[in-house]
Amino acid sequence: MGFGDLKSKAGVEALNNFLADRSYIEGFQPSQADVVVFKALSGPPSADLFNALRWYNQINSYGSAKDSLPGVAKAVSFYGPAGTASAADDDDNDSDFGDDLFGDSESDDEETKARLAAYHAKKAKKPKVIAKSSLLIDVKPWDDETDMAELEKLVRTIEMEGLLWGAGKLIPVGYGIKKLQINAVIEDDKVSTDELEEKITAFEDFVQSMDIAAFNKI
Amino acid sequence: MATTGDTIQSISAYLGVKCGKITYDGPEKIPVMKGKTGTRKGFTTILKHLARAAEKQNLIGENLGEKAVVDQWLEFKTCYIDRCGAEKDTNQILKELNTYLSDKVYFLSHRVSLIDLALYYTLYTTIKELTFYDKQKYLHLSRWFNNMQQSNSIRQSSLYITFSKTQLYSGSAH
Repeated sequence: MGFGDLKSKAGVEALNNFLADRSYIEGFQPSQADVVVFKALSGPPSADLFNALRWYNQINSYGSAKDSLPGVAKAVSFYGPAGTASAADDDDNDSDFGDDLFGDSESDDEETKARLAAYHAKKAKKPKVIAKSSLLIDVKPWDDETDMAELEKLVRTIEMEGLLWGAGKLIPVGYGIKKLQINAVIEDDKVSTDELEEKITAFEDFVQSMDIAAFNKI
Repeated sequence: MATTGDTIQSISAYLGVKCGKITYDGPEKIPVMKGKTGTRKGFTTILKHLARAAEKQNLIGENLGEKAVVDQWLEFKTCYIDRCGAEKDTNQILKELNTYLSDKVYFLSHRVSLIDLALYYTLYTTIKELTFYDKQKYLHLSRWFNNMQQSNSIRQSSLYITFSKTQLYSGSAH
Protein backbone atom coordinates (compact mmCIF):
# COMPACT_ATOMS: atom_id res chain seq x y z
CA MET A 1 0.00 0.00 0.00
CA GLY A 2 1.13 3.50 -0.73
CA PHE A 3 0.73 5.09 2.66
CA GLY A 4 -0.33 2.06 4.62
CA ASP A 5 -3.45 2.49 6.71
CA LEU A 6 -4.38 6.16 6.42
CA LYS A 7 -6.58 5.88 9.47
CA SER A 8 -3.57 5.01 11.61
CA LYS A 9 -0.96 7.49 12.79
CA ALA A 10 1.82 5.76 10.86
CA GLY A 11 -0.16 6.11 7.66
CA VAL A 12 -0.73 9.83 8.16
CA GLU A 13 2.94 10.24 9.00
CA ALA A 14 3.87 8.59 5.70
CA LEU A 15 1.48 10.98 3.98
CA ASN A 16 3.04 13.92 5.81
CA ASN A 17 6.49 12.86 4.71
CA PHE A 18 5.37 12.36 1.16
CA LEU A 19 3.82 15.81 0.98
CA ALA A 20 6.85 17.66 2.38
CA ASP A 21 7.99 18.71 -1.07
CA ARG A 22 4.71 18.28 -2.91
CA SER A 23 1.59 20.37 -2.98
CA TYR A 24 -0.61 17.62 -4.36
CA ILE A 25 -0.57 13.82 -4.37
CA GLU A 26 -0.11 13.59 -8.10
CA GLY A 27 1.37 16.20 -10.38
CA PHE A 28 0.99 19.88 -9.69
CA GLN A 29 -2.71 20.48 -9.57
CA PRO A 30 -5.56 19.03 -7.57
CA SER A 31 -6.89 15.83 -9.08
CA GLN A 32 -8.94 12.78 -8.21
CA ALA A 33 -5.81 11.35 -6.64
CA ASP A 34 -6.10 13.96 -3.91
CA VAL A 35 -9.80 13.27 -3.49
CA VAL A 36 -9.24 9.53 -3.06
CA VAL A 37 -6.57 10.01 -0.41
CA PHE A 38 -8.61 12.79 1.20
CA LYS A 39 -11.58 10.49 1.57
CA ALA A 40 -9.42 7.71 2.97
CA LEU A 41 -8.47 9.90 5.91
CA SER A 42 -10.62 9.75 9.01
CA GLY A 43 -10.32 13.50 9.62
CA PRO A 44 -7.88 16.40 9.55
CA PRO A 45 -4.31 15.35 10.41
CA SER A 46 -2.97 16.62 13.71
CA ALA A 47 -1.16 19.94 13.76
CA ASP A 48 2.32 18.47 14.15
CA LEU A 49 1.94 16.77 10.79
CA PHE A 50 1.74 20.17 9.14
CA ASN A 51 2.52 19.05 5.59
CA ALA A 52 -0.42 16.71 5.62
CA LEU A 53 -2.60 19.30 7.34
CA ARG A 54 -1.72 21.96 4.77
CA TRP A 55 -2.65 19.62 1.97
CA TYR A 56 -5.85 18.61 3.78
CA ASN A 57 -6.93 22.24 4.09
CA GLN A 58 -6.14 22.91 0.46
CA ILE A 59 -8.20 19.95 -0.77
CA ASN A 60 -10.94 20.71 1.72
CA SER A 61 -11.25 24.19 0.21
CA TYR A 62 -12.64 22.74 -3.01
CA GLY A 63 -15.72 21.71 -1.06
CA SER A 64 -18.33 20.02 -3.17
CA ALA A 65 -16.41 20.84 -6.36
CA LYS A 66 -14.03 18.00 -5.47
CA ASP A 67 -15.82 15.51 -7.66
CA SER A 68 -15.33 17.64 -10.75
CA LEU A 69 -11.54 17.74 -10.35
CA PRO A 70 -9.65 16.22 -13.27
CA GLY A 71 -8.09 12.77 -13.33
CA VAL A 72 -9.36 9.26 -12.85
CA ALA A 73 -9.78 7.92 -9.36
CA LYS A 74 -7.80 4.77 -8.58
CA ALA A 75 -7.58 2.65 -5.46
CA VAL A 76 -6.01 4.52 -2.58
CA SER A 77 -3.15 2.02 -2.40
CA PHE A 78 -2.02 3.15 -5.83
CA TYR A 79 -0.90 6.55 -4.58
CA GLY A 80 1.99 7.49 -2.40
CA PRO A 81 5.70 6.74 -2.28
CA ALA A 82 6.83 4.85 -5.36
CA GLY A 83 7.67 1.19 -5.17
CA THR A 84 5.51 0.57 -2.15
CA ALA A 85 2.47 0.04 -4.30
CA SER A 86 0.65 -3.27 -4.43
CA ALA A 87 2.48 -6.48 -5.28
CA ALA A 88 1.07 -6.58 -8.79
CA ASP A 89 2.86 -3.36 -9.58
CA ASP A 90 6.10 -4.57 -8.08
CA ASP A 91 6.37 -7.42 -10.61
CA ASP A 92 6.66 -4.87 -13.32
CA ASN A 93 9.95 -3.65 -11.99
CA ASP A 94 11.70 -2.90 -15.26
CA SER A 95 9.33 -0.19 -16.34
CA ASP A 96 9.25 1.26 -12.85
CA PHE A 97 12.97 1.66 -12.93
CA GLY A 98 12.96 4.25 -15.66
CA ASP A 99 10.22 6.27 -14.06
CA ASP A 100 11.65 6.60 -10.65
CA LEU A 101 15.37 6.09 -10.38
CA PHE A 102 15.55 7.57 -6.92
CA GLY A 103 12.43 6.17 -5.40
CA ASP A 104 12.72 4.03 -2.35
CA SER A 105 11.55 0.54 -2.94
CA GLU A 106 10.25 -1.37 0.00
CA SER A 107 13.15 -3.79 0.25
CA ASP A 108 15.71 -0.99 0.12
CA ASP A 109 13.93 1.15 2.62
CA GLU A 110 15.34 -0.38 5.78
CA GLU A 111 18.78 -0.57 4.28
CA THR A 112 18.66 3.06 3.18
CA LYS A 113 17.59 4.14 6.63
CA ALA A 114 20.40 2.19 8.25
CA ARG A 115 22.93 3.65 5.86
CA LEU A 116 21.67 7.15 6.36
CA ALA A 117 21.88 6.73 10.11
CA ALA A 118 25.44 5.46 9.76
CA TYR A 119 26.30 8.35 7.47
CA HIS A 120 24.94 10.97 9.84
CA ALA A 121 26.65 9.32 12.80
CA LYS A 122 29.95 9.33 10.94
CA LYS A 123 29.51 12.94 9.95
CA ALA A 124 28.75 13.98 13.50
CA LYS A 125 31.84 12.21 14.83
CA LYS A 126 34.21 13.78 12.37
CA PRO A 127 36.08 16.52 14.21
CA LYS A 128 35.79 20.04 12.89
CA VAL A 129 39.01 21.11 11.21
CA ILE A 130 40.30 24.36 12.65
CA ALA A 131 41.63 26.49 9.85
CA LYS A 132 44.93 28.08 10.77
CA SER A 133 47.26 30.37 8.93
CA SER A 134 50.88 31.20 9.33
CA LEU A 135 51.73 34.87 8.94
CA LEU A 136 55.02 36.61 8.37
CA ILE A 137 54.63 40.20 9.46
CA ASP A 138 57.00 43.07 8.66
CA VAL A 139 56.90 45.89 11.16
CA LYS A 140 58.74 49.04 10.12
CA PRO A 141 59.97 51.61 12.65
CA TRP A 142 60.07 55.40 12.10
CA ASP A 143 63.85 55.78 11.97
CA ASP A 144 67.15 54.29 13.07
CA GLU A 145 66.70 55.58 16.60
CA THR A 146 63.63 53.48 17.35
CA ASP A 147 64.31 50.93 20.04
CA MET A 148 63.71 47.68 18.17
CA ALA A 149 63.89 45.50 21.29
CA GLU A 150 61.14 47.58 22.90
CA LEU A 151 59.12 47.40 19.67
CA GLU A 152 59.31 43.64 19.57
CA LYS A 153 58.35 43.45 23.23
CA LEU A 154 55.32 45.66 22.59
CA VAL A 155 54.19 43.63 19.59
CA ARG A 156 54.41 40.48 21.65
CA THR A 157 52.18 42.00 24.31
CA ILE A 158 49.26 41.77 21.89
CA GLU A 159 47.19 38.89 23.09
CA MET A 160 44.21 37.52 21.24
CA GLU A 161 42.43 34.21 21.38
CA GLY A 162 43.82 32.00 18.63
CA LEU A 163 46.95 34.08 18.13
CA LEU A 164 50.40 32.65 18.73
CA TRP A 165 53.61 34.63 18.28
CA GLY A 166 56.61 32.89 16.75
CA ALA A 167 60.23 33.80 16.22
CA GLY A 168 61.14 37.36 15.34
CA LYS A 169 64.28 38.77 13.78
CA LEU A 170 65.63 42.15 12.75
CA ILE A 171 66.39 42.69 9.11
CA PRO A 172 68.38 45.69 7.92
CA VAL A 173 66.64 47.75 5.27
CA GLY A 174 69.38 50.35 4.79
CA TYR A 175 70.76 53.56 6.40
CA GLY A 176 71.04 51.66 9.65
CA ILE A 177 67.31 51.17 9.84
CA LYS A 178 66.11 47.71 10.71
CA LYS A 179 62.67 46.24 10.42
CA LEU A 180 61.18 43.58 12.60
CA GLN A 181 60.11 40.42 10.87
CA ILE A 182 57.96 38.28 13.11
CA ASN A 183 56.12 35.02 12.70
CA ALA A 184 52.59 34.43 13.93
CA VAL A 185 50.11 31.60 13.74
CA ILE A 186 46.44 32.55 13.78
CA GLU A 187 43.18 30.65 13.80
CA ASP A 188 41.26 32.01 10.83
CA ASP A 189 37.90 32.06 12.57
CA LYS A 190 39.07 33.89 15.65
CA VAL A 191 41.65 36.40 14.47
CA SER A 192 41.23 38.79 11.61
CA THR A 193 44.38 40.24 10.09
CA ASP A 194 42.76 43.66 9.95
CA GLU A 195 42.28 43.63 13.67
CA LEU A 196 45.85 42.49 14.17
CA GLU A 197 47.14 45.26 11.93
CA GLU A 198 45.12 47.80 13.86
CA LYS A 199 46.59 46.63 17.15
CA ILE A 200 50.16 46.68 15.90
CA THR A 201 49.91 50.11 14.34
CA ALA A 202 48.36 51.32 17.58
CA PHE A 203 51.91 51.55 18.99
CA GLU A 204 52.35 54.67 16.94
CA ASP A 205 55.41 55.90 18.79
CA PHE A 206 57.36 52.95 17.46
CA VAL A 207 55.57 51.57 14.43
CA GLN A 208 55.46 53.45 11.17
CA SER A 209 53.73 50.76 9.21
CA MET A 210 53.23 47.05 8.99
CA ASP A 211 52.89 44.61 6.14
CA ILE A 212 51.95 41.01 5.88
CA ALA A 213 54.92 39.59 4.00
CA ALA A 214 53.60 36.06 3.71
CA PHE A 215 50.26 34.44 4.41
CA ASN A 216 50.11 30.66 4.30
CA LYS A 217 47.26 28.39 5.13
CA ILE A 218 48.36 25.50 7.29
CA MET B 1 16.40 39.55 -7.95
CA ALA B 2 14.43 40.44 -11.02
CA THR B 3 13.93 44.14 -11.53
CA THR B 4 10.51 45.56 -10.81
CA GLY B 5 10.06 46.38 -14.50
CA ASP B 6 10.78 42.81 -15.57
CA THR B 7 8.38 41.47 -12.96
CA ILE B 8 5.60 43.74 -14.23
CA GLN B 9 6.34 42.77 -17.85
CA SER B 10 6.15 39.05 -16.99
CA ILE B 11 2.89 39.45 -15.11
CA SER B 12 1.31 41.45 -17.91
CA ALA B 13 2.37 38.72 -20.34
CA TYR B 14 0.73 36.15 -18.07
CA LEU B 15 -2.46 38.21 -17.87
CA GLY B 16 -2.45 38.80 -21.60
CA VAL B 17 -2.63 42.58 -21.34
CA LYS B 18 -0.20 45.14 -22.65
CA CYS B 19 1.70 47.21 -20.16
CA GLY B 20 4.01 49.07 -22.53
CA LYS B 21 7.34 50.31 -21.35
CA ILE B 22 8.01 50.67 -17.65
CA THR B 23 10.05 53.68 -16.66
CA TYR B 24 11.41 54.55 -13.25
CA ASP B 25 10.86 57.76 -11.39
CA GLY B 26 12.98 59.44 -8.77
CA PRO B 27 15.83 58.10 -6.65
CA GLU B 28 13.50 55.46 -5.18
CA LYS B 29 13.00 54.09 -8.68
CA ILE B 30 9.24 53.95 -8.47
CA PRO B 31 7.96 52.16 -11.56
CA VAL B 32 5.75 54.24 -13.85
CA MET B 33 3.48 52.87 -16.55
CA LYS B 34 2.08 55.15 -19.21
CA GLY B 35 -1.00 53.80 -20.91
CA LYS B 36 -3.87 55.08 -23.03
CA THR B 37 -6.04 55.39 -19.98
CA GLY B 38 -3.54 57.42 -18.00
CA THR B 39 -0.29 57.15 -16.10
CA ARG B 40 0.03 54.80 -13.18
CA LYS B 41 2.75 54.94 -10.62
CA GLY B 42 3.87 52.35 -8.10
CA PHE B 43 4.31 48.57 -8.23
CA THR B 44 1.08 47.69 -6.43
CA THR B 45 -1.00 50.19 -8.39
CA ILE B 46 0.28 48.98 -11.73
CA LEU B 47 -0.26 45.31 -10.91
CA LYS B 48 -3.80 45.88 -9.69
CA HIS B 49 -4.57 47.92 -12.77
CA LEU B 50 -3.29 45.11 -14.99
CA ALA B 51 -5.33 42.49 -13.13
CA ARG B 52 -8.46 44.63 -13.51
CA ALA B 53 -7.73 45.23 -17.19
CA ALA B 54 -7.49 41.47 -17.68
CA GLU B 55 -10.74 41.10 -15.74
CA LYS B 56 -9.16 38.78 -13.25
CA GLN B 57 -10.48 40.42 -10.11
CA ASN B 58 -9.99 37.27 -8.07
CA LEU B 59 -6.22 37.75 -8.34
CA ILE B 60 -6.55 40.88 -6.21
CA GLY B 61 -8.75 39.18 -3.65
CA GLU B 62 -12.46 38.62 -3.42
CA ASN B 63 -13.23 40.33 -0.15
CA LEU B 64 -11.70 43.02 2.02
CA GLY B 65 -9.66 40.54 4.03
CA GLU B 66 -8.09 38.99 0.98
CA LYS B 67 -7.43 42.38 -0.58
CA ALA B 68 -5.58 43.42 2.55
CA VAL B 69 -3.38 40.32 2.37
CA VAL B 70 -2.53 41.07 -1.26
CA ASP B 71 -1.70 44.67 -0.39
CA GLN B 72 0.50 43.60 2.48
CA TRP B 73 2.54 41.17 0.44
CA LEU B 74 3.00 43.51 -2.49
CA GLU B 75 4.18 46.12 -0.03
CA PHE B 76 6.49 43.55 1.54
CA LYS B 77 7.95 42.94 -1.90
CA THR B 78 8.62 46.64 -2.46
CA CYS B 79 9.82 47.43 1.04
CA TYR B 80 11.84 44.37 1.91
CA ILE B 81 12.61 42.08 -1.00
CA ASP B 82 13.61 44.90 -3.35
CA ARG B 83 15.87 46.39 -0.76
CA CYS B 84 17.95 43.44 0.27
CA GLY B 85 21.46 43.81 -0.97
CA ALA B 86 23.54 41.40 1.04
CA GLU B 87 23.17 37.66 0.99
CA LYS B 88 22.30 37.75 4.66
CA ASP B 89 19.23 39.89 3.97
CA THR B 90 18.12 37.58 1.18
CA ASN B 91 18.44 34.55 3.43
CA GLN B 92 16.32 36.25 6.05
CA ILE B 93 13.60 36.95 3.47
CA LEU B 94 13.69 33.38 2.17
CA LYS B 95 13.43 32.09 5.71
CA GLU B 96 10.45 34.29 6.41
CA LEU B 97 8.65 33.24 3.22
CA ASN B 98 9.45 29.61 3.97
CA THR B 99 7.88 29.86 7.41
CA TYR B 100 4.81 31.58 6.02
CA LEU B 101 4.32 28.89 3.39
CA SER B 102 4.72 25.97 5.78
CA ASP B 103 0.96 25.65 6.18
CA LYS B 104 -0.11 27.05 2.84
CA VAL B 105 -0.08 25.93 -0.76
CA TYR B 106 -0.45 29.46 -2.10
CA PHE B 107 0.10 32.79 -0.42
CA LEU B 108 -3.55 33.72 -0.47
CA SER B 109 -6.27 31.29 0.39
CA HIS B 110 -6.27 28.25 -1.88
CA ARG B 111 -5.58 29.63 -5.32
CA VAL B 112 -3.01 31.54 -7.32
CA SER B 113 -3.13 35.26 -6.61
CA LEU B 114 -1.23 38.37 -7.58
CA ILE B 115 1.15 37.72 -4.66
CA ASP B 116 2.22 34.35 -6.01
CA LEU B 117 2.85 35.84 -9.44
CA ALA B 118 4.76 38.86 -8.17
CA LEU B 119 6.95 36.79 -5.84
CA TYR B 120 7.53 34.04 -8.40
CA TYR B 121 8.97 36.47 -10.93
CA THR B 122 10.85 38.47 -8.32
CA LEU B 123 12.48 35.46 -6.72
CA TYR B 124 13.18 33.46 -9.88
CA THR B 125 16.84 34.43 -10.23
CA THR B 126 17.45 34.12 -6.51
CA ILE B 127 16.03 30.63 -6.31
CA LYS B 128 17.84 29.63 -9.48
CA GLU B 129 21.15 30.37 -7.79
CA LEU B 130 20.39 28.42 -4.63
CA THR B 131 22.23 25.17 -4.03
CA PHE B 132 20.28 21.96 -3.64
CA TYR B 133 21.11 22.11 0.03
CA ASP B 134 19.54 25.54 0.40
CA LYS B 135 16.56 24.59 -1.69
CA GLN B 136 15.91 21.78 0.73
CA LYS B 137 16.50 24.08 3.65
CA TYR B 138 13.67 26.28 2.34
CA LEU B 139 11.58 23.22 1.58
CA HIS B 140 8.19 24.91 1.81
CA LEU B 141 9.28 27.78 -0.39
CA SER B 142 10.73 25.29 -2.88
CA ARG B 143 7.52 23.31 -2.93
CA TRP B 144 5.52 26.45 -3.64
CA PHE B 145 7.95 27.56 -6.32
CA ASN B 146 8.03 24.14 -7.96
CA ASN B 147 4.26 24.11 -8.04
CA MET B 148 4.14 27.58 -9.59
CA GLN B 149 6.64 26.85 -12.34
CA GLN B 150 4.64 23.88 -13.63
CA SER B 151 2.20 26.19 -15.35
CA ASN B 152 3.52 27.13 -18.79
CA SER B 153 1.70 30.43 -18.76
CA ILE B 154 3.42 31.39 -15.54
CA ARG B 155 6.86 30.04 -16.33
CA GLN B 156 6.83 31.52 -19.84
CA SER B 157 10.26 31.36 -21.48
CA SER B 158 12.34 30.87 -18.34
CA LEU B 159 13.97 27.56 -17.58
CA TYR B 160 12.75 24.92 -15.21
CA ILE B 161 14.49 24.94 -11.88
CA THR B 162 15.22 21.48 -10.60
CA PHE B 163 14.22 20.59 -7.09
CA SER B 164 15.18 17.36 -5.48
CA LYS B 165 14.56 16.24 -1.95
CA THR B 166 17.27 13.96 -0.68
CA GLN B 167 17.46 12.22 2.65
CA LEU B 168 21.17 12.96 2.84
CA TYR B 169 20.52 16.50 4.03
CA SER B 170 17.65 15.73 6.34
CA GLY B 171 19.84 15.00 9.36
CA SER B 172 21.56 18.34 9.45
CA ALA B 173 19.00 20.63 7.87
CA HIS B 174 16.03 19.75 9.99
